[in-house]
Amino acid sequence: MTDTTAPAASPARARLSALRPSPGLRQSLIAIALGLLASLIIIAVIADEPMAAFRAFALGSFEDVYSFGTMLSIATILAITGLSSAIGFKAGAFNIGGEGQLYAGGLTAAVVALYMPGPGPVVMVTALVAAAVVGAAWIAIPALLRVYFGVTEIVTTLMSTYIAIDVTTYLVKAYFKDPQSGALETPPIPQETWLPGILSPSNANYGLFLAVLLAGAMALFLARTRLGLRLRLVGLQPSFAENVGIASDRTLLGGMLTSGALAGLAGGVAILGLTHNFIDSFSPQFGFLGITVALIGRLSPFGVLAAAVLYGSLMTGATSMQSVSDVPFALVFILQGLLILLITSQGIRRRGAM
Amino acid sequence: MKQTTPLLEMRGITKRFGPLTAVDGVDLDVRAGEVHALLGENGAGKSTLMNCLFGLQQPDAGEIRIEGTPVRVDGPRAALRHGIGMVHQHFKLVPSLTVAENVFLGHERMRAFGFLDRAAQRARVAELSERYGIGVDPDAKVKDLSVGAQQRVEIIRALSEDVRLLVLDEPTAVLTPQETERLFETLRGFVAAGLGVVLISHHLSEVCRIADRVTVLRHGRRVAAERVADVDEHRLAELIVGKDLPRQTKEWGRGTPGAPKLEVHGLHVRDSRGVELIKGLDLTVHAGEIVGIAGVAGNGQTELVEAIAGIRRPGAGSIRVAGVEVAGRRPRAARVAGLAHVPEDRNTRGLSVWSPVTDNIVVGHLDDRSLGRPLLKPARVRRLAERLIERFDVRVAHPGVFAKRLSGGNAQKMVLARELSREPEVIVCCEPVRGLDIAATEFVHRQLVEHRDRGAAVLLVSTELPEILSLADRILVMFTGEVVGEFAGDRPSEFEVGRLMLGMSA
Repeated sequence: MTDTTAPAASPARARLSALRPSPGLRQSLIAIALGLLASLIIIAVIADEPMAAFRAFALGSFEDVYSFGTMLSIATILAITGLSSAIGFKAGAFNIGGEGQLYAGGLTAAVVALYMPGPGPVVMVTALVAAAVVGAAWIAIPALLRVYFGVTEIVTTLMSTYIAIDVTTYLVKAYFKDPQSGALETPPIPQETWLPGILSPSNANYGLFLAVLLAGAMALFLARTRLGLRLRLVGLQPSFAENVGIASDRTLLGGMLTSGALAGLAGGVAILGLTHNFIDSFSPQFGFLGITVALIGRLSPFGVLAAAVLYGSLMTGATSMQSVSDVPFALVFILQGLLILLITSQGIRRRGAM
Repeated sequence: MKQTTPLLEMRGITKRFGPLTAVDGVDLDVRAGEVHALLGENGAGKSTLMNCLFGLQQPDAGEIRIEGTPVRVDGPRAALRHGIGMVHQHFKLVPSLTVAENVFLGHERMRAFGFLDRAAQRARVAELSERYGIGVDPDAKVKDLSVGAQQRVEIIRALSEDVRLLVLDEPTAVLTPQETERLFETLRGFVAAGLGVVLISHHLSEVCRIADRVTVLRHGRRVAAERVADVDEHRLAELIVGKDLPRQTKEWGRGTPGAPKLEVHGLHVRDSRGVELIKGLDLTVHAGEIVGIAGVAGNGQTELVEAIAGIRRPGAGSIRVAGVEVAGRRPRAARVAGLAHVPEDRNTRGLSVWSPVTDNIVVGHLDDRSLGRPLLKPARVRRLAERLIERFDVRVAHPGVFAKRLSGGNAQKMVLARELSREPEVIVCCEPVRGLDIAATEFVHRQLVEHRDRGAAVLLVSTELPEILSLADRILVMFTGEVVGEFAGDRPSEFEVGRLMLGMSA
C-alpha cells in the first residue's frame, strides 16, 4: 500500500516537541523580548510612575554590589535547578518535581550541617553530597514507575513534591525545630559549614562557582561522552536508541536520577549558601522555576546559566520595583507564564509546519 | 435505467503523490446486494482508492456517485453521512469500554442536557446484532472479547449509522477459519438485506467463495472487472501479478554460500492480543548468500525481522546470529554478535530524526576507541562521519544537518553507512528500497550484493517481488506466519512465487 504516513507522534514526543534542537537562541530572545514588552505594558497600566517602576524592574539588580550579589545568589539556585530540568528533558523525562527534591535535599543538608561533627569544609561537602543523594532518592520511585511501568512522571513527580514539602514540615516540627525561634525552622547551621560568601554584604557565595562548574561538566558530558550521546538519542527517540543497541530504560533511569540529584543539590546550596538554616516553605518555587530557566536556556547548559542570570535579575528587579512603586512582585509570575507559553508555542508551530 | 443504478460509482479516480501516480483513472462500481472484491498487490492502489472514497484523501481527478448522485466526500464523517462504513484492518477499539460505548464513541447518542443515552445505544447495538445475526453483547468489555468478536464490534460500529455500503479491509487476516466462516455468514446477511459490500483481500480462495464480482488493480490502474463466476483463482492470480507484463529488473550475480550465519528454529511470535503471527518458523542464511523472504504484507515478515533484531520477544524458538543465541535478548546482544539491521520503519527505528547525520552514523561506532576515550574527540568523530558519508554517497551539505532534512534515498544511505560500515556478519533488511528512486535503489542493492560477496549472510524481506527475484540466491515465501515454499537454484517466475504468496499451493 502506498506509504505516505509519517510515524505516529507519541504523547511523550508531542510533549517534548518544544525541546527539539533548533536555532534556539533567536527564538529564546524573541520570547524574552515579547515577554518584557508585555511586562512593560502591564507596568504602564498599573503603575503611577511607570518609568520609575520599569527602571527598578529592569535595572534593580545592577545598581549596587548588594543588589547584584543578591541577584547572583538567586541565579545560582536557579541555574542548578535549571540544569536539573534540562538533563531530565534531554533524557526524555519531564521532572516537574524539582521543588520536592529541592526540599528533601535542603533539609538533609541542614541536618548534616547541624549534627555532623568534624571540620567545617568536610561537613559542608558531605552535606551537599547527602543533599544530592536524597534528591535522587526522592525521584527514584517516580523514575522506576516511569521506566518499568510506563507511569507518566509528570503526575508522579508533581505529587511527590507535595509529599516532600509536607514531610519536611513535619520533620522540622517534630525533630529539628529551633526552640529559640517562633517560626517553623531549624537552628542556624554553624558558620564554618557555610558556602563561603562573595560580594559581601550580599548572599552571593561559592555556590555560583559550583553552578558554573556543573554547567561545564554537563556540557562536556552531553557533547563529548558516549553516555551523553546515548542519553540524547534516548531522549529524542527511544525506539531508535533501542534499535541501535542502547539500553534506553537504564539510560532514562540514570537521566532522571541525575535530575533529582541536581535538584536536591540545589536545595543544599540554598541552605548552605543562602538561608543558613532550613525554614519551612522557604523556596520561592526555585524547583518549578528551574523548568522555565531550562526552557529559556533551550536545554543547553550555558544557555541555562544565562537564563538563570536573566531570571534572577527579573526576580531581584521585581522586589526592588515592589518597594519603589505599586506594582507587585507577582508580575514575575505573569512574565514566567508568558515566557513558557511563548517558548513552547514556538515548538508547536514547528510541529504544525512539519 | 433498465437495471438499477449502482449503489456506488467511482469514475476515473486519479490520485498523485508527487511524481508517483498511485491511482490512475480507476473506475469501480458496487451494486446493492453484492459482495465486490477489490484485489491487487501491495502498492497497487487499493488503499489509496478507498482513502479517496472515505475522504481521507482528495482525488486529483474523477467523480464519486452514490445511487447516481455525484457527491463530494471531504472526510470520514461525510462518508458516513453518505452511508459508507468502513471496517479497518487494525481495530480501533478502546479495550476498557463496553461494546456499546465503543460503537458510539465520537458520535454518542445524547439525551437532554448532554447526558449519554446509554439505553438507546445499547438498544441500537442489540437491534443490529439481532437483525444481522452478529451476536455481540452490548455490555461486554472489549478487552474480554476474542479477535473475531472485536471485529464484529468494528462491523457494528460501521453499521451504527444508516450504512448502505460497507468496506472491509482484509477482514480475514486476523481470523481463524471458523471465525472467517462466521464473518462470511454475516456478510451474506448484509447482502441479502440489500447492502453493498466491498471486500479487500489477498486470499483468492476466499474471494472466489464469497464475492460476486471482482475488480483487480495493478500499478494504480484497473486491469480487470469481472464476475467471479467467469474467472478462477488461477486467472485472478495472473491478473494481480501481471504475468504477461515482464518487469524491468536488473540482474545481479549469484553468491557462493558458506557456513550458516543466521539460524532460526521453531520460532513462535504472538501479538499483544495473543494472535499467533509466526507459527514455528525455521530458516537458515549462510555466509555469502542472500535469502529473500517474499510475501504479501502482514504475513509475519515484520515480526520475524523484529524478533531477530531483538525488538520483539518471541514466544518460543531459537535465533542464532553467528552462533550466538539472541532470542528474547535486547537488540544490543544481536548487534554485538554481528547483526546489522536496516529496519522497515526508517523514521522510527532506522534514524534519529532530530539528530545530526554525525550522531546518526557515529552511534554505530561507539565501540571504536580511536574516536577518543573517555572523551570523544570531535575532529575524529567528524572525520569518521565524513568518510562514511562519502563512501555511502550520502548527499548532504555537511555532517551537522538533521536527518529530518534528508530525502528518503539519502536517509537510507545514512542508515547503511551506520549499519554496513561495521562489517557485519549478518544483515537483516526489511523493505530496504521503499520510497527510493531508481539510482538510490540500485545503490542499496549494490551494497547488499557487495556485502554478500564479502561473506555476509543477508536476509532480505520485501513485498516487492521483482526486488526479491533480482537479488536473492534463495527465496522463501511466507504466508500467514509460515514458510510455505522455497525456491533455490534456478530463478522461479514471478507467477510461481506469486501463487504461493496468495496462499495457493505450488
